[in-house]
Amino acid sequence: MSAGDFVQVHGLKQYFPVQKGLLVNRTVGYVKAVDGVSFGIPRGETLGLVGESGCGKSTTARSMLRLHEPTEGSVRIGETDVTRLNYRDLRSFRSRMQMIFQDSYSSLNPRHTVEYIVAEPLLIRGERPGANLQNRVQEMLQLVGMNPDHMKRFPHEFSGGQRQRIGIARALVLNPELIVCDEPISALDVAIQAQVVNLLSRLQDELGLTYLFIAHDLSMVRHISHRIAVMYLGKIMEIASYDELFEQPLHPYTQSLMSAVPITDPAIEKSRARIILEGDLPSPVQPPTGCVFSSRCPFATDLCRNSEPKPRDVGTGHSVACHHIDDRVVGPRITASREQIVNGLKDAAHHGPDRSFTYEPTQSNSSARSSFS
Amino acid sequence: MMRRRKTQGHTPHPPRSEPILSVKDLSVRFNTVDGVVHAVNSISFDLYRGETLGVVGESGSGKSVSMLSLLRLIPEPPGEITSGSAILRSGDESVDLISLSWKQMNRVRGRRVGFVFQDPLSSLNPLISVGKQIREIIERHNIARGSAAKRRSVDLLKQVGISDADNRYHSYPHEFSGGMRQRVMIAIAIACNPELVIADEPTTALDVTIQAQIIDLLMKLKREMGISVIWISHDLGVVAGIADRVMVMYGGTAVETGTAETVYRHPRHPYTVGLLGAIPKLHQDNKRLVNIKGTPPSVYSALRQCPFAPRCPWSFDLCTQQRPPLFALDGNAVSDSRHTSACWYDLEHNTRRTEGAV
Amino acid sequence: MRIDALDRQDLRRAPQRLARIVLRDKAGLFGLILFVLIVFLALAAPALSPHDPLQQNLRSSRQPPAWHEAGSMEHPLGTDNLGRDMLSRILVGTRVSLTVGFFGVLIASSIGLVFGMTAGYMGGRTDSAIMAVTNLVLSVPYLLLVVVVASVLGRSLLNVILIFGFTNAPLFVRVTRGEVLRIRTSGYVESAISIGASRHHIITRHILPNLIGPILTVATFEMSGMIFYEAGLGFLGLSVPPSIPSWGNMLAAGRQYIQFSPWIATFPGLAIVVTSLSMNLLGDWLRDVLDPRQRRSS
Repeated sequence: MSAGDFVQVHGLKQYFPVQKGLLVNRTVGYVKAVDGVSFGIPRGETLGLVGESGCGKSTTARSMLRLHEPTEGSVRIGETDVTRLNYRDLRSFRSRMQMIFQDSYSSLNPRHTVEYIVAEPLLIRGERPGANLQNRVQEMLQLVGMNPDHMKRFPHEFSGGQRQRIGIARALVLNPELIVCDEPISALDVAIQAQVVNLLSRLQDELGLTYLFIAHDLSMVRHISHRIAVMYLGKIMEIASYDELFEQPLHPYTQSLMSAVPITDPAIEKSRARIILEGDLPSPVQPPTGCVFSSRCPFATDLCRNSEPKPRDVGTGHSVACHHIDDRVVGPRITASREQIVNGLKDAAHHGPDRSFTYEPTQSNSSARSSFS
Repeated sequence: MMRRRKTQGHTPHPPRSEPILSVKDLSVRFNTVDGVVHAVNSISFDLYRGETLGVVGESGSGKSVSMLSLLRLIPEPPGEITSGSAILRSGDESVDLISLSWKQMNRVRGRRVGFVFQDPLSSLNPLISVGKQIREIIERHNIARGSAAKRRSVDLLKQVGISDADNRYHSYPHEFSGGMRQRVMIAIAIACNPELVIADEPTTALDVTIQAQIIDLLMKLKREMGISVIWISHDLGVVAGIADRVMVMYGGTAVETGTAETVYRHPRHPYTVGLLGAIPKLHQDNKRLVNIKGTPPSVYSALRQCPFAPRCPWSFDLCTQQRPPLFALDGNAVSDSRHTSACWYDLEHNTRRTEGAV
Repeated sequence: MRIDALDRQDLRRAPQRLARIVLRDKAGLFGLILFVLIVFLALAAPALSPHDPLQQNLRSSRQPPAWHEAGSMEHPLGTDNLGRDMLSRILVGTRVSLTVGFFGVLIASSIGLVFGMTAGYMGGRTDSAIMAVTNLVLSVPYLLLVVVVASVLGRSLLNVILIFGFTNAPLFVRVTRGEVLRIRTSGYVESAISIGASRHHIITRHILPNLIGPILTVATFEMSGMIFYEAGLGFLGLSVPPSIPSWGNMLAAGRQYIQFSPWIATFPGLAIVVTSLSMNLLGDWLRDVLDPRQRRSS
């Protein structure tokens, strides 16, 4: 994180009380969903936030946008510390930071038409219904590649990918600067995922948007992110630019995530080296002592189980929270595993389908198809 | 643990006798209030002993319906198998699954064919301990009884990698994590030494690191027990790592089939090409992904054209007039490993086809 | 059921969808028609009644219905023990039943909506307090309450309505609270917060519209229940005074003549059954129609 970053999150914590008791609720502990997360995003860039379910990535997003009240920490967007805004100011500030939700089934009110859904942010800001507003909605729908004629329809009349486009149109209508994308493609089919990711990339180029893009695996994040943060059990394990992260995944957890990304090449996928982690994600109510990853890390030592590693900057904005990446005993093993995994992945890059077709409609029949896209 | 998946896709199969499962011309439709949904349109395939067939497609492609209908696991009505046969062979004995009575089918399901579904939580009974659920299927199919059945259940739990199996036998499904529940499902699937396991998106609901565990486990068991596997998935990457042969489905039809190596390295159907191009590679330039325009087709009408034609950049008039048959691409006479594609356009030579169908 | 193909591509327009649902659910359509007819009969009762429902004529008492050999077209459904025209009394009785049902439900649902929404939206102590009172009201035996009120304040339509309104409110409180809790944590409310919506906006544009369906459905079932119970109270002599023709009163009066003049008790009984039935069918139908996501449930 540098001082000039557009988004600066510092020491963000989100604890949820665990309550027990029949008549009187006692707080018996805390789920440390987000436990001291810091990162920055320069204007116009995308930070990919990756981790498995339960690692706190979605909670981080919601705390940042104050959909949850953060327990501790600060979130600066531009010149504003979001955590200090009062209710009124927060409501008006929300136009500058928007969210795209994972579940487009539940995040669009089934009783509202597409027109109302996209216009609602403007209506809340006091704009009057009318031709002007309708034009704006049509513009937005066109921008996200939807047919504006369909704006009188209801969300359930659209496919998952189209509903996600509606969600994007709604998020964009206020001209926000920051958009938090909470697993916007996880529920979609592969071909539709690519459509949505391409759309988000294009919008970023055209509108200069800043994204926090959340995902549970590395493959799509790689495609849209400038920098990537890997999260595990409420903490950031590693953060680096995408080149750096894919060439030099230092943290054993990053390595295991990379080795778990399926590759679409049978020969390589069947033979490449991988780290298969044992066991499940530990409970965030009682995280392991020391390093939170120590209970599943194939390289863990007593040091890991006893003391928590602090994030260390290893140069060019690459920061890792691991004791052993450069010590003399365990370090070389981690490095060796890294090289095997990265080499496996690099092989795959050279062994795609035997020819790359330009996947564009031919001139003669493109008009017939325009109604489908 | 650092490990490499055992390679088994490349080992040339011994001269194969007969396939353990031959499906011919299977069609399934659903009669709904909105009309007839043609979910599966005459698909055919063979599966050999110890082989893994990957069935790939997007939601709505008919991949699950086709495989589940083989064992009559689709609701009937509204579902209806309108044509086809599915011969399950073992030794000299062979039965046509489609013509079996409900009672005969119950002796096949769980005994000769095991299942692993996407959502183990809804497939397991929440009120019965996991051990008892395994034991139940062992006793139902007369594999073992009483304490022998219990011992076998504990062994199965160990075999699927559940530590402390003796105590875990008494646990209930909600006490397990998603990955552990899927292990229990696998134990149930292999409890009666089946010849075939149908895995319907078994890792889709799991995190990537847990997914790796489950794939590893299933493939290990398959090798050890010589089971044939039909693996249904929307994830081309997952299938690449495990399948010997692949069948790509779209709009209720098989659009491309072949060995995994051929289909992934030399895709010949525009849909397969697009799908592979839509998946980002970790180490490749950040260029735009292939955009397959539009959305998958509605299957409310009987197929009289190529289902992919409306989205296909190469489609021409014939594509919308006649449904393409499967064309043999490599001239390979060995029927089970040949590469076929259901497309009127020959991508390899950039020509239009009119004949040469299989 | 895992049939992805069924889940997509439903791009039909809303009016067609409505027509489809209406036509599909034949029972619901029947209920709707029946209900409209009953409401019409209640409204037009004075005009349609061939006789004054209160006029006694002892000379023609206990005259059987028209299709009976001793009956006449002058009294199509016969007369009661005091010679009053059955058809006219049943028509006018519709008004009592519907009045009790309608206003009873109106009171109960209004109370339920206000307190249920407060409990669901505020949560915490407010919620606990409201739910405690709700459970308390539920635990009072309503028949006892009716007897007490009837003996203290006398028998009147208003008292019956008020008692039904208050004793049935807890159900509405619970349904409303449950729905509000569900909607409040739904994705679209979170989405509304994220675009800067005020509490007022969220309640009026997101929570209330989504409450109407479930509340209306419960209301029809409750209304049918109240009509049923009003008749029961009338039968026990605890509802409206005997001077007002209500189905319950008529049923009670006919009881002693059931052996020789069965029509006196049968017709009001039938009226109660048909009205209840129409509302239950209507309730099922409403549940389908009011859900825009409703597709193929059958």
